[in-house]
Amino acid sequence: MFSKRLLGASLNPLMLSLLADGPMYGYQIIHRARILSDNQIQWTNSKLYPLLHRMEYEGLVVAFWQPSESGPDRKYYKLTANGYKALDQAKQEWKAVSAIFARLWGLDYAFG
Amino acid sequence: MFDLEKAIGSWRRQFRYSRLFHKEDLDELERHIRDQVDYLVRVGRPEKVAFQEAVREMGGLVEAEPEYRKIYWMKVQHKRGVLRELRWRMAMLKNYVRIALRTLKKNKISSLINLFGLSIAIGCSIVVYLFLQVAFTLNDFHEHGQEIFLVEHLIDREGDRQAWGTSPIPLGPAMEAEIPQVVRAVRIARHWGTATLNDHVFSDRIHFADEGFFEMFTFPLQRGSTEALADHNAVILSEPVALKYFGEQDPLGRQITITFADDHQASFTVGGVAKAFPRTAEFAFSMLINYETQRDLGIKNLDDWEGLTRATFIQLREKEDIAEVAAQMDRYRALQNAATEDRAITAFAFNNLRDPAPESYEVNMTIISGFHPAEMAMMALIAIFLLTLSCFNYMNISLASAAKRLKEIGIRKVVGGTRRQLIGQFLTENILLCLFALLLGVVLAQGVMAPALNAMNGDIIALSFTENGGLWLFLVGLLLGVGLVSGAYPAFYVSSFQPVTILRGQQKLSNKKWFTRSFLTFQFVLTFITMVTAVTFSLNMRSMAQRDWGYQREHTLVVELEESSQFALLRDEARKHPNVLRLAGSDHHIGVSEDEIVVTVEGKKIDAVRFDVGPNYFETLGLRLTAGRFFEEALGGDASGSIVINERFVEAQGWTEPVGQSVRFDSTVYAVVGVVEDFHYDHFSNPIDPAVFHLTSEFRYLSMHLEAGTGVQTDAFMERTWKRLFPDRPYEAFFQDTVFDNYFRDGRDLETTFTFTAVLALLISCLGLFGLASQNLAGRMKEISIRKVLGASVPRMTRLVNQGFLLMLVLAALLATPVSYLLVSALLDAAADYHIVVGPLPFMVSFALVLVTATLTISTQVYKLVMVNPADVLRTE
Repeated sequence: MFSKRLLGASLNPLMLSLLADGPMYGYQIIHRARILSDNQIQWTNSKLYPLLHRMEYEGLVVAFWQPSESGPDRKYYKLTANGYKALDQAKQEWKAVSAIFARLWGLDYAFG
Repeated sequence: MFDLEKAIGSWRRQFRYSRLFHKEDLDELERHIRDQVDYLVRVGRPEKVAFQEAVREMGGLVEAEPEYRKIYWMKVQHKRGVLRELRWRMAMLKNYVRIALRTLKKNKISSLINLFGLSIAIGCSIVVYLFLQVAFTLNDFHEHGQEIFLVEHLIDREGDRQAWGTSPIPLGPAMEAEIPQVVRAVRIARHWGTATLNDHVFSDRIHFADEGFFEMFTFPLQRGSTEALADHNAVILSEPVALKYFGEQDPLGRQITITFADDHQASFTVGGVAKAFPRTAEFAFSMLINYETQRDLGIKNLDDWEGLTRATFIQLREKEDIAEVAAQMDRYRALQNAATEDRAITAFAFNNLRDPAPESYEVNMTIISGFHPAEMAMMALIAIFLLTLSCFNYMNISLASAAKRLKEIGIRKVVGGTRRQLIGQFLTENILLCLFALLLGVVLAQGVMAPALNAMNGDIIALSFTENGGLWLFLVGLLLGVGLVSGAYPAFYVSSFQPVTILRGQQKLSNKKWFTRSFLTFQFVLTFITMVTAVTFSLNMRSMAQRDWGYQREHTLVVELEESSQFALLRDEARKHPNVLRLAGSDHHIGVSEDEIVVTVEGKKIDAVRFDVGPNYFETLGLRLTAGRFFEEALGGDASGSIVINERFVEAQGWTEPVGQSVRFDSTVYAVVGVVEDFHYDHFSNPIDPAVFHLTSEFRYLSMHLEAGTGVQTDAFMERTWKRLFPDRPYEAFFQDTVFDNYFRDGRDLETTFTFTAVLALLISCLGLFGLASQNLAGRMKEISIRKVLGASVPRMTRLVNQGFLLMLVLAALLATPVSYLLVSALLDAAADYHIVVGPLPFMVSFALVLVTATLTISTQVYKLVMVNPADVLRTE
């Protein structure tokens, strides 16, 4: 498990990166994150949905309802052009941070 | 059998009353739960367990709400849900208001106390606001006010710099002609004149101003044209004067004959009538005539640099030009100083009409002095002080009455009321109360306080909601300010209780007793201070009224003459009257007029006041000789070379043998022939300066010392005589003991203001005390009943219940004593040069007054205590 602070800081970029693969609904996002991180990232629903709503308000994602075969409609979120821009910026920032750590901790970290 | 649809339906119901979740949000969350249930069922859990697990993971309303609240407003705007939100808020507000009204009705006494105290304080604040509004916007209505400056001059007197608002007569035109930055200069002069019209004789102040007056100042006319000012034979009237002279008739084109001093007379045609002047006009006019007319009439030599005019205003192209103008003033200084060596000017100064310098009130003879800052500060302090007292009352009473409402608070919290809502409810209650107080305060201000202030200060304020936008803002601000300040602490404190503690009956309020009591103590400290101030000023006024003026002020009638030739005629008639014991003429008169001169003694210059008087003046006024002699009619030499001085003069020079000393003024050397005891020629706010009496045969006053008790009769006789001798002149006379009436009236006004404040403070504090004492008693009824049953005596219980309050009063008295001593001494020093020494009497009187009132207040509770039947109280348990 990551620390709460790290989780908080990485929440936005992670969400953007996950949605970069294509539209997803909330349940799907949580599962993807859990699988990708070997259960190290466990978002609670009470945090996830308000975050998605905020990103929608900020214009980073758009939401749309789509019928589903197994029950009621699902609400999907997908990145907007602004969302992709924000993702690029986040990538650069995290790469820069990662490069600094690589220089600090040596090559075995970078290739390890 | 578990039904998933039913279970989901009941899960959704918990969110029904939370406005933070929209339907769409719940659909989304529901879908999430369904997905999770599907997944868990697929991995082998029974449907019921799967649902419970999914819901647990989802979290309830309590966990979700804070996160959803954070983005709620974004969503409201986003989804255009503002209307819905507003509806919800209004519903809540309606609920708050309903509960508030019920609570106010239920607690009648404490509501009335709060209402009454607050409305008094609010009424005072409104009046003070209106006063300050006028004080801060004086003369602001002049459109060019920014560019208009009053020319002042400074003179050095023994290292003491004095500023004067008057200026040399030829200065204005010279500046207009020679300094390019000066667009126009306008001089203003004033003379008394007597106007005769259809057999009526009016005495009025006549103003003279240069032609540019109406271009410079914003005084619009209702009739006629401002060009009339250019006409030397025209006069422009103010609205009241036009009404006084012509009533409802059209004054335009009518003739008014005006007689000025020394019998200069001329006829003027009415060329215009001004609109009513704004309340903020510090100077205006009653009858306005062209400045140069003074020359035609022979009243004044207008080319003489020695002569001063009432005021000279200059209008510049731009406000910033003033520095360049100031740099060019040296030549005028030289001209002026060549003309008046004794009164050399150090520099000229300029005071902007829109933003006058803060120390303008210190400038001598200025026509834009503004209000004294101390007066403004005092008014503001009184208002803040009364507001503070009433806010304390509210806090105290609502904290004390919170005890009664603990269960309500507990229940509200248990059924889901948040702290924020409780605070909202308490504040609504308070603001509602403040609103009632505000309405009552407006009525009080309009009906009582504004008329009282206008009676003291001249008609300066008016409560007008249609013309005064600032007043609305002020009232709304006052409502919110007072409502929040007085309500915030009780609201936050009371809403912080835990429901469990409340409902178990364990919530204790007693730890806040010191808090309410220290508030009340502080209130009484303030009350004591105002009380001591009021009593001291009252005693001071009494002492001043009895103060020796240094001469015989009773039984002295003074008739004002218009010209010296009237004196002999009137004197001969007066001498025949048996009630007239002594009489004398004079050019100046003690308490009414004097000249300010510079006297040179042994090469040193000192300021002095000069009285030109006739023979027998000293004897008639009863001035007391301490050395030498008075003027003697028989000694011909007195007229030219002798003076009588006062003791202050002797003191200032350090003479041991004053008689025979010589002094110089008006380029003449005079010998001192006598010394009189110091006397008050001015009221007691001002120090007695060195004074010089000089013999004259030009008289403007006839003073008569009368047989005691014959004043009215002799006055009537003199008036008849006057009317017979000078039928077309108004008779003006006064008794010598009335010359300081204005001063005493101001003093009484100040006394009234302080007394008023003290009484209000006492009233408000006692209301607070009453509220607290009755709450205290109500809370201890059970205890008291049990004590009664067990046989406690009434005196013993009275002491038990009230000793805390009495101790508090004593503590307040102890704290207030040093503070009020310092304050009152400082106030007296600031207000007057001659005043009483602050002794123990005001303190004793104030403490007695407050203690008696407070004891009376508390004793209403003793009655309750005596009357209570223990059975009634204890039966309810």
